[in-house]
Amino acid sequence: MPHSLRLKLSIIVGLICLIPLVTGLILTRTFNPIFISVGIITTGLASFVVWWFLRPLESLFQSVQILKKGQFQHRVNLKGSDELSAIGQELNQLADYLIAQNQTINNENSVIISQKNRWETIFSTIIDGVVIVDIHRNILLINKAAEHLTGYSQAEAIGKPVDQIIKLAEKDGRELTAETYCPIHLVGQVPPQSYRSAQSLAITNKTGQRETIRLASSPIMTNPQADLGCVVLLQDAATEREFESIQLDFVSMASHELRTPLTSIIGYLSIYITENQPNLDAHQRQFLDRVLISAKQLAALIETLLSVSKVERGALRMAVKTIDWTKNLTQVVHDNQIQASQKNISVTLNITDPGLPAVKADNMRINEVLNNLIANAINYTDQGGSITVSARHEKDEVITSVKDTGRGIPKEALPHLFTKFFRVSTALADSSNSKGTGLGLFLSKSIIDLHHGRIWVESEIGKGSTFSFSLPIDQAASKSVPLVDILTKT
Amino acid sequence: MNPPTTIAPSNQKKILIVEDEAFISDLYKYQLTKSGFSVAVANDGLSGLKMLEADQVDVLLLDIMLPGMNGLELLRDWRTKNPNSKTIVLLLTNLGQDAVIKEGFSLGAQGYLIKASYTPEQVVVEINNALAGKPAGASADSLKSA
Repeated sequence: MPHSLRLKLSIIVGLICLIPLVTGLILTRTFNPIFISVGIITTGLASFVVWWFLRPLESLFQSVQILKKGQFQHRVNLKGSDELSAIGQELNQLADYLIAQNQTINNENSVIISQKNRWETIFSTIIDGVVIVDIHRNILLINKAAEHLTGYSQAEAIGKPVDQIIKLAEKDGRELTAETYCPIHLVGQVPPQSYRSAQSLAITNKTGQRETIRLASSPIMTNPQADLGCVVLLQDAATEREFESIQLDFVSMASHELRTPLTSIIGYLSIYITENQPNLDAHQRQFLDRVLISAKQLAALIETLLSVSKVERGALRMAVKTIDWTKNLTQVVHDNQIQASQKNISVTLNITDPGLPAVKADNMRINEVLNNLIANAINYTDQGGSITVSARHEKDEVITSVKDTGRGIPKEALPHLFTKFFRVSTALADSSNSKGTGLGLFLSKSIIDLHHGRIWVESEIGKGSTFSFSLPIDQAASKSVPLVDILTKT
Repeated sequence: MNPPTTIAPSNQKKILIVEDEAFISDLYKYQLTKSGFSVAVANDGLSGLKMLEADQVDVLLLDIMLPGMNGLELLRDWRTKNPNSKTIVLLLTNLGQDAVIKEGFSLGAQGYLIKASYTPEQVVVEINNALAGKPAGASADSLKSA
């Protein structure tokens, strides 16, 4: 406190100057007015001189106070060459340095801010929804498009678990877990199995509305300190929906236009063969049979393609009715015998249970499954082999099996067998057998799924394969999900 | 193919085929005539409706996609005028026309036959089933629980 220091020093010096005066007065006991006056004047002068010389101290103090407030333009104005003036000049230099430093920081800051603004603008104007997630799968950032798609604002979304904000489901309604659509890959750890991308998923927004989106997500390769998990990209699939409806129109048009001529071919040919049977020689009969079989294969192929397209749109519906299963199997086995006999393969039906219950199923669709399994068995069984179709009653199901003595399916192919476009011959790099579309088992599984049944396979290389599926015998309609929905929704 | 020669029984059932594809209508006409039915064919909706109104028909085989008046319009028009008719209506369709089939059922069709899936022989079987009061083709059975 220069004020008090200045004051104290002035007073102390004044008081010290008073000492000889007071001492003289006491010793001489004479109160000479001149002497007293000189003594007081000297004392006052001494105090004033001290007070005067310490004046710059106050100025310095004020300057420091001003500088402390950040007013670096302030300068200490002390003339002279004493230490106090030197301190003043030092202070002025310090202020200059601070001004320069401040300028640099400001410049850097404005660069950072403009970059941040730029980045934020870019991020918010990306037309697709972008969500950045931390390693605990909580939301770090969400852009405008993602706010729009999810229905949650940035303020609502940030910090929340990603699956609370982005609710995704497959077309058939199966919900996706955050682990599937938001893979996390930390440095030094095994990368997640697959970086998820899907063409057509349903997103349920805040108000419960569903939209179709495309998803692409990728983990951010990072160390845990960075706390960056993954980037989830959501694309509005409105255009896809439009395309789908065009595709739907095309499919129904194509189905009509392709099938009408085929109906004629198959119809006329079957009548011709039936009526002219006695007049045909073996060769003629064989040729016509082959034409008929090929036409039927083509019809079946068209049906398969149409069905798969329906499965993919979630539009495949089952029209279930009660089916005498023994009678149905007898017919299907009979229908397949001609084709099998061409390869010298026997197809036999083996039902030991005379009281095999009736099943609830869509007759045409379930026969598609049976025909497909038998056709596969014929395709993958060598000349002279045999195929056995059997059915047994187990609990509230009927299990139907198609067993062949074919070459069998390699273990590594088994998990992929019911996926679309998978073909065992491709997996085996076996070009000798290129029949089939790779859609049959996919469709079979879809149909069995829609019947609330199961389909599975047991196989041993060199010994053959057995495909089995289960169908409910009881009131299928009593299940929670109605099987019969065929005509209610299109 | 020789035309069938069948002596018509006195209780011969009358069938009207409304189908614009001549190959298909000829095919069904041939097989049905051979199986003992009396068969008439209309190639479009309007003439089908006229024939239906002019003569009592036991079974109507009705295509959906027809020039001019389509099968459903024909059915609606005719049902409005003849709500109590005993004529059995079977729709001739292709798979993938679920919505149309549903509408057909609501207009009183008893069943539908998927053209590409049924041989002419099977169509005869289904018609006989329908006449005997059994469910025909992929029939109303599937609708009841829907």
